[in-house]
Amino acid sequence: MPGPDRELMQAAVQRIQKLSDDNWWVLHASCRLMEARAWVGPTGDRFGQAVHNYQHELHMMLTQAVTMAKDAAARAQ
Amino acid sequence: MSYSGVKLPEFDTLVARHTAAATQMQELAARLHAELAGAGLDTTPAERIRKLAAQVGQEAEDLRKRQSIVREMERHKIAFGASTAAGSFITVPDSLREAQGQLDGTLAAKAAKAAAAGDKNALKQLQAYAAKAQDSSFTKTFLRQLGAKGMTQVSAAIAAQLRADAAGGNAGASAKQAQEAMRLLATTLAKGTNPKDPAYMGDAFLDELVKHGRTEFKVDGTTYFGYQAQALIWRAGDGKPPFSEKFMQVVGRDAIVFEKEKFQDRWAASKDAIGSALGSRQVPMADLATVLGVARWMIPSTPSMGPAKQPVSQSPHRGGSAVIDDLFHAASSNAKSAQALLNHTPAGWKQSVLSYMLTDRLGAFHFHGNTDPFAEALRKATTGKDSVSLSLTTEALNTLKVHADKVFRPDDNDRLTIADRKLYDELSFLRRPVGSALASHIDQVYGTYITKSEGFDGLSKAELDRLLVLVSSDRDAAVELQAAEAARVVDRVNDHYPTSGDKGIKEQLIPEAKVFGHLVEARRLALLANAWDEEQTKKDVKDTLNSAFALFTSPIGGLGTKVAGELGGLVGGKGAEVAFDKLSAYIVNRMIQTSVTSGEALRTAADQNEMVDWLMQSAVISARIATGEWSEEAMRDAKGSTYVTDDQPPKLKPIHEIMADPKTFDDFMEWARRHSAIESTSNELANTVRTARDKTHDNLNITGY
Repeated sequence: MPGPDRELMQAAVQRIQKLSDDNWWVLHASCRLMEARAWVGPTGDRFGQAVHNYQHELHMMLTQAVTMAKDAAARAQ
Repeated sequence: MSYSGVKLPEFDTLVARHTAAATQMQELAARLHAELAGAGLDTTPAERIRKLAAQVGQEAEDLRKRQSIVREMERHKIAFGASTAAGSFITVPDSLREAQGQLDGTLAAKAAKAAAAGDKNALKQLQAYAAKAQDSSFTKTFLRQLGAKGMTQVSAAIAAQLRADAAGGNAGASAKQAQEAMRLLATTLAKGTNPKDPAYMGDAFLDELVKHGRTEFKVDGTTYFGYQAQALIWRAGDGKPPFSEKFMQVVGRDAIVFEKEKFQDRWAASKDAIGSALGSRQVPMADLATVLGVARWMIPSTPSMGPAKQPVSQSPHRGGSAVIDDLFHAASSNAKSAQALLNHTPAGWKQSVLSYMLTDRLGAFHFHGNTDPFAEALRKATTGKDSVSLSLTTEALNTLKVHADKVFRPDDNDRLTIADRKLYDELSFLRRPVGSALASHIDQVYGTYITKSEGFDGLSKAELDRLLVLVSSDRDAAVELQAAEAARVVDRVNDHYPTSGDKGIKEQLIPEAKVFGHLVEARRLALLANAWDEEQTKKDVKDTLNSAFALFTSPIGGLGTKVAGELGGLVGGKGAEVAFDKLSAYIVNRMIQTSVTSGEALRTAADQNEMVDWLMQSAVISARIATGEWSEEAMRDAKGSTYVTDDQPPKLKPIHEIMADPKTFDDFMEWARRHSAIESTSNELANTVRTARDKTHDNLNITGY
């Protein structure tokens, strides 16, 4: 029988998964525009590189959050 | 350099999306934090995202700044754009600061052009950019867009604006804006023409300044040469930054040559029979503000530069200025720049610029009476320790000696008199800088009188005597010279004493006493030649020496600067560790200062000769105290005094203890004086000073004193 803890945890997993889905592409436009040479030059190039790195790190953090929540929900069974 | 710029409309979209992303990420970070914390999970991912959001926010802000610069550039139609197959590119400097400087520089140049076209509001706008002038990308853009021609015409237009104000009954209405705008022009021009400045515009820009300096322009019906307008920029500078040596080599030298080319025929005519009879004066090339009668509104009323204690020149100015006066103003804030003008012989000339200024062009300085700039530039160029300073000083003296010979002649009573009052007056503005030059090269003054080989090349003792009389009619010049010689005396005693003590000290001092004799007598003769009576003169000669002692020991004087840092160490109880010459310098400084304050030397010395003797004695006694060796007799005499111990026989207390109490120090000094061997040579030194006076008289063929 699923206990109340488990239900709460499942709901949390869903909310975190939604946060991740909704924000996954937040830096995508910046990355694409920089690839399309919206701003060129040494400082622009550094900016473009940084934005790609941010996006990569964002994805890692979101994945980690979802994974942590799922693991916790599994443990609560 | 790689290309840098933005593509539209992609860049605008980027700014909008990145700004939105920053906000969205902040919210994400907050909500994720709440979820993780609520579920009892590690919140690290949320915290990392919050940091990312902050970085994205900072970038978005930079992007918006860049975007606003791009928009301003488009709005003012100053963008360098190119439409390519890939989109519409706009060139923007890579660094934000540079981009802003370029935008401001362009807008300022636009305002300047509008002001030149007579737009009064534009003059106001220009003023707002004054603070930007220190920025190199601003300056480069501004100068590039205005060009040498634009710079010339803008300053002319500003002067014309002031004249229009005056004609319309609003004299001086735009004065403040005009001055601010001129300062902006001066700062940018000084930076853009200095090869060491990041804003340097290259050699070609200097050549352009020359080209347009020599060109005729017109403003509101008045014809002028470019240099007459450029001179207003030179004069508006405040020395920060200074106009460079390079600027003076290219533009400055040419302006001097140009004036001569244009005016020498007129000058010759003013000197011929008819011209002289009409009382024609030597008219220099006036700057444009002077031509238009607006000089007083154009130039901020700051006193001209010079030693702080020197009052602003009292000479009656006509409120105008020559192009050359303005040039020397620009050169006077930097020794190398001043030297670049003076230490040069233009192609085809038979004399240097320095000699030309002191002879052929001398009269032209007096037409407007704005003589301070040249005097200050001359002082700056000749008072350094470098070889150019010395060679310019030597040249100035050899040029001026011819004048001095005409000015001073023996009269029927064999007394020195001013035979050419007009020339004497014309030379008066040179007394102070030449006095400073002589003081800076006091070793060569000494050499001329004593060793000969180390003197000023080409200058005889008699010629130097006459020049000293000329400069010494300026009291400050006489004071500075005598203070410099006092420094020589103290240095010489302190060099001699540690190795030889009293032995041979007299032989060291006699030649210095001779030099002092010439200096002091020069002041006396200068006063008598100016019809002072004997009593007044006698008093002033002593006062002048006293002032020299005061200057010498003041915080800016030769001795004052030497001891300034030592005081703490001495009084702080480290007296025993202080090196001999520092200690000796400190003591003599204190001794002279005390005497100057109390008037002791003035009171006890019967005349100037005894005052010189008093100085020399003080130097020797100080050296003696610093060595600390005294006879048994002297120590017996000191028994019971506050400056000795109770031992049998008594010993001197440590010097820092003695100096800590003024009364003890004074008693100690008096005792030290009583027991110094120098007293016996005193008459001989005073006599030497007197003999030097007679020698001066012989040199000048004046025996009626």
